[in-house]
Order: sequence, then structure tokens, then C-alpha cells
Amino acid sequence: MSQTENRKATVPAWTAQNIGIEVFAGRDQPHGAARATAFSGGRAVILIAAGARLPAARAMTFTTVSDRQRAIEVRVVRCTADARPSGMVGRFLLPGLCDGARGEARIDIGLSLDLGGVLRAWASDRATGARQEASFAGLWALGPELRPDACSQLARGVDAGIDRLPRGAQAALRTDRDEAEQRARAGGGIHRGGEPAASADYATALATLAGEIDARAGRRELADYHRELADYRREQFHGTTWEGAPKTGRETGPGPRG
Amino acid sequence: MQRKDYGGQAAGDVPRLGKVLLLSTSSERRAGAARALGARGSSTAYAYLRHALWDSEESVRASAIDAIGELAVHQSAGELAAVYAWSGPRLRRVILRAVQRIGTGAAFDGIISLASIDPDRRVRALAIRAAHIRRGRF
Repeated sequence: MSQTENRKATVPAWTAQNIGIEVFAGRDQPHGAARATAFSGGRAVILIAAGARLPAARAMTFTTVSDRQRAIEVRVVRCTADARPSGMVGRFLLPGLCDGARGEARIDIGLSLDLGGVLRAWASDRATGARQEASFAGLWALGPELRPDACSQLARGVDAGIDRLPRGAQAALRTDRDEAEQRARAGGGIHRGGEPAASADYATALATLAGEIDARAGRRELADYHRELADYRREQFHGTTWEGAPKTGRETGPGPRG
Repeated sequence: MQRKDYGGQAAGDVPRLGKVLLLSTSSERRAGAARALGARGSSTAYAYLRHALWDSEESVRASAIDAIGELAVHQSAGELAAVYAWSGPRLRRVILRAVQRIGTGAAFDGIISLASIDPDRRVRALAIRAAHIRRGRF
């Protein structure tokens, strides 16, 4: 991350990387084996393809590979164009699946990537309602996703998110947010608008706070991501476009569920 | 949460400690950095601590889990569950103590339900306690 510290990038609102998932049978018992699902040969499932306009969100439905399988492990990975994993972004376990036969469960797994570069992943079992989600920050440290206005975008989202939280949870997160801004001002220069310049450290701190706010505020549904996408498109329709956006860039909208 | 002064270090220490945690070749230094991040009291430290959950040294993983409990990071539920599934009884107990400190959040029900059927008696006992805390009975 140190190489990208305080780096300013001038890039449009699209992702340069394929982001996908690998799904494994989770270890819900000690010494249990972790087996890959039907996706063999070391391939992942790409949910957000390189060139996708941001924000992007997509979900797919998966199932279990053995009888009485009670957990899955979702690994979010960067992928090559042929869906071979090229680096781990993060992983999480969804326990509490329905106790049924192989192939019976319906588990929705989704990814979304917003304009601030925050990658959110979630998995949810339709039968039991078991749900787990995780937010990942820092993709910009490895690619050109750190847009110059990403930090302002993130900071506005964090401020709005903190305001929506119960009063008791607000103070600590606001202090964390202020500290992050203070660090950015001390180390990264100031923009014309009086805001700290975009830097990987500042963006990482804000994205981590955004994930924490999500976790404390309760679940986000795919519909929330669709709404963000619609808002973004409406903004574009009214003439606000991102400088340098590729004219032929592929657009990944919400995908089919199932 | 009351923030501890960790040797008079300034607010800018979170990224610096995070880089020590991720890049140092000494496991003692990495574990120390994880503890220091927990003591700093800023939830933004989770950006670094989450990577240490998969450190090659168990002592570093334990320190990172402790720090996450200290910071009461709610978004850690899924990742702690994944670490739980891959860990031995000692680390599982550390995870359950962290869950007890974080206290609330339905997202942690998964870990508690896994721990409630754990073969290790002490892990099961911690799971029962964590479930009571979650339901507000302590």
C-alpha cells in the first residue's frame, strides 16, 4: 500500500479488474473438509467484469454440494479474464444453512462495487434467512480505481450513514471519521474545496467506516444496490458524466438471480 | 469507548501500525502492532487487522482477534466465522471472547451456533455465555 500512498489518479468510474467469487463447502465441524462446489479447475465466477461502470451490483444463486451441508465459505477474488483467481480480496463464512439434501439449498451470493471503491459481498440462505456480509476496501491499492473524487464521495456517504445510526453508536464513529480526515490533512494536502486530497490511506479508512456503518445499520438488500445504480444513471442522464469514461466500456448492472 | 494513549502516539499511527502489522518479518512485532491497533480505539484499524486474521503465526492471529474484540468491530462477523472454522480450540476460544466483547448483532449468531456444538467443552461454555450476552441476560 505504501507505493500508492497519497497517489492521485485521474480515472473514470469503471473498474479495471474482474472481481469474482469462489464458493467452498464451509467447515462447520472441526476437522471437516472444505470442498469446492461444482466450480472445479480453479475457476471463479466473475460477478463484476473489468470495464463495468460503477456503481455495479450483481447476485447469483448457488447451492450445496453435499447432504446436510450447513455452511459455505465465500472467497472474493480478483480474477484474470478466463476466471482464474489472481488474488484474494477477502473471505467469509455463512453458517446456518438449511439441513437438507445436496442441491436443495438456494443461497444468493452478491457483490457490489460503489463509486467510492467499496466492495460489498453478501450471502443469504433463502430457506433459513441466514445471512452474512462483508465490506472490503483497498482495491484501489492494486488498480487505478482511486478516483480523485472517491474520498469526497465516501466522506459524504459516511457522514450520512453516521447520522442514520442510533445516537449511542454515532460518537465513536464520528471520532474515527474526524481522525481519518485529520490524518489525511496532515499527510496528503488539501483540495481546492477545502477537502483532504484523495489518498489510499484516507480512502481505506473511510471505506472501513462505511462497512462498519452498514454492519451496525442492518442488512442491505440487493434492491439498495439497484437503487444506487438507478440514482447514478439518473445523475448521468442529467448531464453529469465522469471525465474520461470509456465510450465502449461494458456496463454491469444487476444480474439475474438464479 | 475510551481511547488509550499507546505510548503517546498520534492519530497518524493507525496506517503506520497497520503497515508494521502487514509487512514486518517479525511475528512479535506483528502481534505487538495488532495489540497497539486495538488499543488505539479506532475502528478504521480493521482495514489492517482483517488481513492479520490469516497470518501464518497463531500468536498474530490471536492478537488481531483480541484487537477486533477491543474495537467492537461489527463488520467482522463473517470473517471471524471463517477464521473460527479453520482454527483449533485455543483460537476458537479467543474468537468467542471477542464476540462476547462485541456483544450485539445478529450477524454473530452464526459463530455462536457453530460454537454451541463444538467438541471442546470450554468453547461450548463460552458460546452459551456469548448467547446470553447477545440476548441481554448478563
